[in-house]
Amino acid sequence: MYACIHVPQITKRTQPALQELAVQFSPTLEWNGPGTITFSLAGLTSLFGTAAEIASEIARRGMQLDVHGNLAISTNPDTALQAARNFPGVTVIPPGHERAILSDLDIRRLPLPEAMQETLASWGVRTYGEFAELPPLGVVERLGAEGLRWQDIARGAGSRAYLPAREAIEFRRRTDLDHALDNLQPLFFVINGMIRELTRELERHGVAARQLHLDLGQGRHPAHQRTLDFPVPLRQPEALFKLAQLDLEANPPLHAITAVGIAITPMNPQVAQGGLFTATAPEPAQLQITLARIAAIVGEDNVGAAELLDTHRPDAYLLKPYNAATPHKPHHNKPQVTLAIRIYRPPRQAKVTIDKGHPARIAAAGITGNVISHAGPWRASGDWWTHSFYAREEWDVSLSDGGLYRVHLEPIDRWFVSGVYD
Amino acid sequence: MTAPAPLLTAAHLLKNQEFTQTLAPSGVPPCDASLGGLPRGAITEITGPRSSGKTAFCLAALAAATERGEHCAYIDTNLSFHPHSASRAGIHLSRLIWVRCRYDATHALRVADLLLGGGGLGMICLDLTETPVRLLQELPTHAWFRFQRALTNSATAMLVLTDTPVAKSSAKAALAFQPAGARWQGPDNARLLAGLEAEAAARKPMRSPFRFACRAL
Repeated sequence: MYACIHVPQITKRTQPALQELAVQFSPTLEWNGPGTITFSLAGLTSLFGTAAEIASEIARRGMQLDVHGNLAISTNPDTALQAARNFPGVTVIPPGHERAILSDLDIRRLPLPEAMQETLASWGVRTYGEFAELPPLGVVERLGAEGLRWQDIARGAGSRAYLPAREAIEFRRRTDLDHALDNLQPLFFVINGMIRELTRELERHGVAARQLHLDLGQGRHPAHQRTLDFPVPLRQPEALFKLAQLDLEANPPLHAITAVGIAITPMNPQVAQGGLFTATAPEPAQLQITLARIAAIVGEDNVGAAELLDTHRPDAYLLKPYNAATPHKPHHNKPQVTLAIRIYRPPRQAKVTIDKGHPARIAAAGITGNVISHAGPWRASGDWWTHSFYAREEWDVSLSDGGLYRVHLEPIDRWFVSGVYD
Repeated sequence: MTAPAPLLTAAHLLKNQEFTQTLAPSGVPPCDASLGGLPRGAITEITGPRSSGKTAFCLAALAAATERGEHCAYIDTNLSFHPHSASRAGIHLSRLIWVRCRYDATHALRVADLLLGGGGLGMICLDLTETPVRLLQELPTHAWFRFQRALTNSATAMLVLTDTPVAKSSAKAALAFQPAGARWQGPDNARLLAGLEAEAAARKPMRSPFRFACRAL
């Protein structure tokens, strides 16, 4: 069973008083907007008696705390919430009577999306009861899964999970060192110890790290600060420490360290069940360490996943941090081999001999030959409204050296070999 | 009295392992018909000159792997990977780790070593194409044995893309590509590049050559 208290007239005292009242009955609370709180009544029957007796006890203690609002008790949190918001005083809904009790409520009291509200109004649906009467299959067809969810709420059969609020917990440690450290190795001992303490705390609260912030005091110099973002939440101390170590080795502090501060931003750990027929995937923590190690070799900007940009500019892409947790959506297309181009970055400057308006011979670094076949020119230009405008004429040429290249001419009358088809 | 069934020895089991090794579909039907796919837990060396279709083959293999939901990696030694071509080939870019090694083949080997050590990837493509031969010859030979050892008993298929063979005896499969001509369409004044014909000879294991077309989309 769940109880919901809704206070229509909110004052400065309302929120703390509501919380104080709710914690007298349950260790878990769920806030449903300002002035509305839901809490579980599990296990209270043996202590206070029936639902009506529990309700009168909540009302009595509410009066003591000067909480003036509506109280509703029901077997599911959605029904309790609807009743508390819409019925004055105390409402105890016996199991099985949810639909009947909510049926006369005006449908406009249900916080539906505007479009859905308009659709129901156009169908002549005026009350919760009328909405509940509609055939579920028809509701799904016309309003989607979201419509069905709202219909269940109107029926008093909401199946949403109760989401207890968590207290905002700070995962933070700070140590002022007795002697300044000008070497990374002893500093790592200090950081490792602090990270282990923090991960124990994370584990105790059932959360994982989304971000790790290092704040290394450097005496009279500004602090050396580093923030590590993790695409997948981590809780393993070894992984967190290794990532911090690799980051500090790549970006060492410039002065001796006098204080070490570590703060962790928590988030719920990722829970995913591996399927029997799903492809094997790298272990997320191990992959993040591997990518950090690779970043230390090739640079942070040279490792990640490519994302195409929505522009016609040639070779426009973004390299984003790789996230192994990205959900997989197969294309289900028939496999086919498509023409691929290997891009020269930067493009190779070329000397091009023109004959009858098209390239006849091309000479560039590592590429020389007579043009056997060609296609083009294909003109491309854009972004002329910015400083980074582009304009080019592209040709596809087959050379006597056996290669098939893409060459382009820029407005400054310079030719380049952009890439080779392979 | 019948003779007892022969006992299986470790040598037999090792020998049979050759045949039971799993193969990853390459995404190129003629290759799958000829070789059955690309061996997992082993190096496949793909060589060929420019415009021989080796990159298109490699992208098709990565597309098939990412389509299966596998996480893959592309080690791009000479910054030549073209994400648009990869996307057109059907690669799920969010499933492909792209590492740009800024023309440093030694870095590329170190990156490959780290990725193999991490495990869990379905396919790793080490692209050494257009790396000067002198630099390729300077690469430590033991690196390929090391990769071979790291791949043993893993489900990772490693593709090494080069102009000339480098992995040699460490590669379990070797494909040599040859250009078989470009395909053009349309009249001279409005001609379009329609694609590329490629021919691959399976050197290891020895199989008859297969041809395929790379179509321009």
